[in-house]
Amino acid sequence: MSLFKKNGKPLVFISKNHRYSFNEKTDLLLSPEFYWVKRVELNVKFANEVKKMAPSLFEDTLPKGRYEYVVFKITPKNFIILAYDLDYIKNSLSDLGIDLGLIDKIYLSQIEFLKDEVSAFVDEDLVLSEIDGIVVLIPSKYADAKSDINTVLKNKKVSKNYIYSSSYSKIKLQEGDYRAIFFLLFLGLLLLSAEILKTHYDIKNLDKAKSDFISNNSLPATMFQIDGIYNELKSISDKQIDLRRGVSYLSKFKMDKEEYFNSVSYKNSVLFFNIRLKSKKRYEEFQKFLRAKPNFKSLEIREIK
Amino acid sequence: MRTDKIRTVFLTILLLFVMFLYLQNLKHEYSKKLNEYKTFVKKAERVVLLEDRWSNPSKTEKSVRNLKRRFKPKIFKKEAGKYIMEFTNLTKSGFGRLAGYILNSNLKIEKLDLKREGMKGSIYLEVGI
Repeated sequence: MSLFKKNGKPLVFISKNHRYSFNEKTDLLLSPEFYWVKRVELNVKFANEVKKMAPSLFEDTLPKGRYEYVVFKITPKNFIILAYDLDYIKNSLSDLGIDLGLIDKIYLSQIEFLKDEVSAFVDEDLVLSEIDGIVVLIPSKYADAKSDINTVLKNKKVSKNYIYSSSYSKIKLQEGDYRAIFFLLFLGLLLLSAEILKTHYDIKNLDKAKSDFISNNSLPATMFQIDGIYNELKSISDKQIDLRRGVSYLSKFKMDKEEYFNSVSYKNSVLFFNIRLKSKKRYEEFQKFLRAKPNFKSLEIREIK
Repeated sequence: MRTDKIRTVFLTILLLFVMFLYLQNLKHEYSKKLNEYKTFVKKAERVVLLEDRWSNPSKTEKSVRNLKRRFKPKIFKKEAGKYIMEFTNLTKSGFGRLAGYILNSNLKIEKLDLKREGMKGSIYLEVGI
């Protein structure tokens, strides 16, 4: 048995010949007794393709169980396939006295020593060794091991290819659950994609509507130009409306007999007038009337004598 | 392996999240463009309206033709982008009708002189085209 701390958690090598007892969360490295390995030569490019064939490659060689497969490409046509049954592993660990609640992650020796050669005593009788790329347990009398597994694991950095993690195990999902999740995610992807396409289309339509509006009304293309034209026309409009309001206002003064405007002239936003009134009092009344005039944006009313 | 499936789920969720952010960005762009478009159309419609009211050569021409036909100006000329007209010897009612016609029209009045000369009146008018 090997026990040491790695990243704050102990990593323990597990073989079926011993019993174990932990009192804290522990990572386990399983001996080859817990899984099955096959080395195959196939004329395929990718490990994924081999993974699909894995059940048939192990057909009739595995005991009954619910197996999962991991494939590693060793050389262009050489692959190592691992088959393991997580339920079987858990049961076996339980039989060895291990509290499953105290397992953090489970690693397989084959995966962890895939690239590094290993030859280490597990106990007095057994050595963890490697034959033709396959990690195996062999009797110690047939091996030339110089160190024990504790020493080997001390400097070993574990991979991310664990087969079990307590954080994942809290989410106990069945195959059907995964299918439902994938379906929902796929649906989400479809809906989002459709919405993205629709929004792209809406933006494009908006641009088209703007250019159509511009060409239909013979307008300039930019807001800056529109603003310029608008300000100019607004100024013309204000002046013209003020002129009409100014004349209208002057005409509201009630004239007596023999009272009249001699002239009313407009030029450059100024409305000049000359009025004839019969008395000074009437003239004062007119001045009062004039002071009460509304505010004009762009018109000045001036009397000419 | 189960971890592969979980990894795929997480990656898909990440993809969904990135797509969602992209969509939010697109929606923001759309909303900005829509507001710009609405503002543009609103202002452009005002421009079209004002242009039609105060700067429509065919309407100006029509009003000036009517003035000329109905009130027979003593002087009528078109020069440097404007019409110049002078109406003289107007009776009180003729003066009122003509002044009313001018002020109620959409003519772009640049200069206007309304004068009373004894019992008659005269009107001088310069209209921009």
